[in-house]
Amino acid sequence: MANHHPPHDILTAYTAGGLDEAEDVLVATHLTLCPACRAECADLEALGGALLAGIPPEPPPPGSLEALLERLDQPPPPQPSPPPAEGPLDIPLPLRRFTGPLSRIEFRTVVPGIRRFDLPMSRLDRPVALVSMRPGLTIPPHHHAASERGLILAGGFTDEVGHFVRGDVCVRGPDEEEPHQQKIDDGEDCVVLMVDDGPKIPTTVVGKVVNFLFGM
Amino acid sequence: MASAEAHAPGEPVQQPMDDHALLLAIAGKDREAYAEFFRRFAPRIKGFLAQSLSHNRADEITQEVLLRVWRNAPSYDPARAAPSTWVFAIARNARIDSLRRTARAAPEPDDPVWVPAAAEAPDTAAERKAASERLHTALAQLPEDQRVVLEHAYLKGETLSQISETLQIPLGTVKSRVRLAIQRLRGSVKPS
Repeated sequence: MANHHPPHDILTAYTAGGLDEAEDVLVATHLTLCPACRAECADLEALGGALLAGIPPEPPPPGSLEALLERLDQPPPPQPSPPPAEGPLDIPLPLRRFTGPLSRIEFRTVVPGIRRFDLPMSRLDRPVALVSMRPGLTIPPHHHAASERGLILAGGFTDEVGHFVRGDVCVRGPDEEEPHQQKIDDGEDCVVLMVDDGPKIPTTVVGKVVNFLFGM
Repeated sequence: MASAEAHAPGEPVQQPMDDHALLLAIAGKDREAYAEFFRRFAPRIKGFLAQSLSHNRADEITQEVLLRVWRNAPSYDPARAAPSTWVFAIARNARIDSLRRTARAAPEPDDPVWVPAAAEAPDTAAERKAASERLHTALAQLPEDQRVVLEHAYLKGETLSQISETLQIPLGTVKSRVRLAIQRLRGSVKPS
C-alpha cells in the first residue's frame, strides 16, 4: 500500500476539476492503488456537492425535459473497450488506456539502463512519460528547474526522502536545496510515470546526462 | 405539498420523495421520478455549468449531464455519496469531457489491479446524509474569503493559479485559504 501520497492541494484540485489531463491521469492512477486517498477525495467531492446545492439556479430553455425524455431510450455511444490487465501488478486502467499493458510498451533506450515511453498528452513544455530504470542503477545528483511529479508503478527506489514503491507519489521542486539523487532497488526494473513542468538542471557533468536521458 | 390534515383518516400521506429515493426510482426506469429530478436539479446543473461555459454550451452540457444521470442511476450508492455530490461529480466530469478529446481519468473499481480498502465499516446511507447536512451548515458559517476560493475552485473549475490571478491575491494565500477552509469543514463534519 502506498506510503507517499500526492500533496493535499493536488487532491483538492483533482476533485474540483482543476487539473490538466496528465495530472488527472497521475492522480486517478494513484487512487486506484490507494484507498486512503480515495476516502480523502470522497470527502473533498462532498464539498462540491454542498456548493452545488447553494448555486443560483438558471432554468434550462423550454422543451429541455421533453427533448431528454425522447433520448432516454437511445443506447449510449459505444465506448472503446479498455486494454485488459495482464495481472494484479499491471498498470492501473486510467493510465493503461494510454499505454496498454506494461509488458507491451515499446520503450526506447535513452542511455544504457534507462528507457522511456512518451505519452500522447505530452507537450514540449510538459513532458509526460513512463521511464523504466535498470535495477541497481544510481541516478546522479540533479536539481529540478520546475516541479516534477512521479508515480511508481513497478520496482522501487530510495532517495533523500525515503523508499518509494508501487503506488507511491514523489514530488520534487526547484525550491529544494540538496541535489536530488536516486538509487534504484535491486530485483526488477523501476517504472515511473513522470509528469514534469519543465527541464531538469544538472549539478554535475555526469548529471548533464540526466537531462539528456529524461529527454529534455 | 399536501398537509397531513387534508387527508382522510387511514389514507396514506403522500410525502414528496427525497433526492435519494428519486435516484433509486430512476434506477428502476421511473420517468415520473426522472421528471421530478429534472425540476429539482436541472437549474442548478445549468447554474454550475454557466459559471465556466457559454450560455449555449451550458444548456447543451446540462442535457448531457441529465442523460448520464438516467444511465448511471443504477450505480448510485447512497452510502458513498449524497445525491448532490453524485450529481456534482457527473457535472464536473461532463464539463471537463466537453473541453478534452478523452474522458476525464478516474479510478475504476472493476480494474483487476484495484487495491481495495482494508475491511472497515462502510458509511451507512444515514450517516452519509447526516454528514452532508453538517457540511451544509458548516459551509454557511465559513468566513467569506475562504468560501470564495472554494467556489472558484469547485464551481468555476479554476486552478489555484487562476484563482490567484482572478482574485488578485498571492498563490500562497489561495492555498492557505483552501487548506484552512477544508480543515474547518472537516472539523465540523466529523460526528462528535
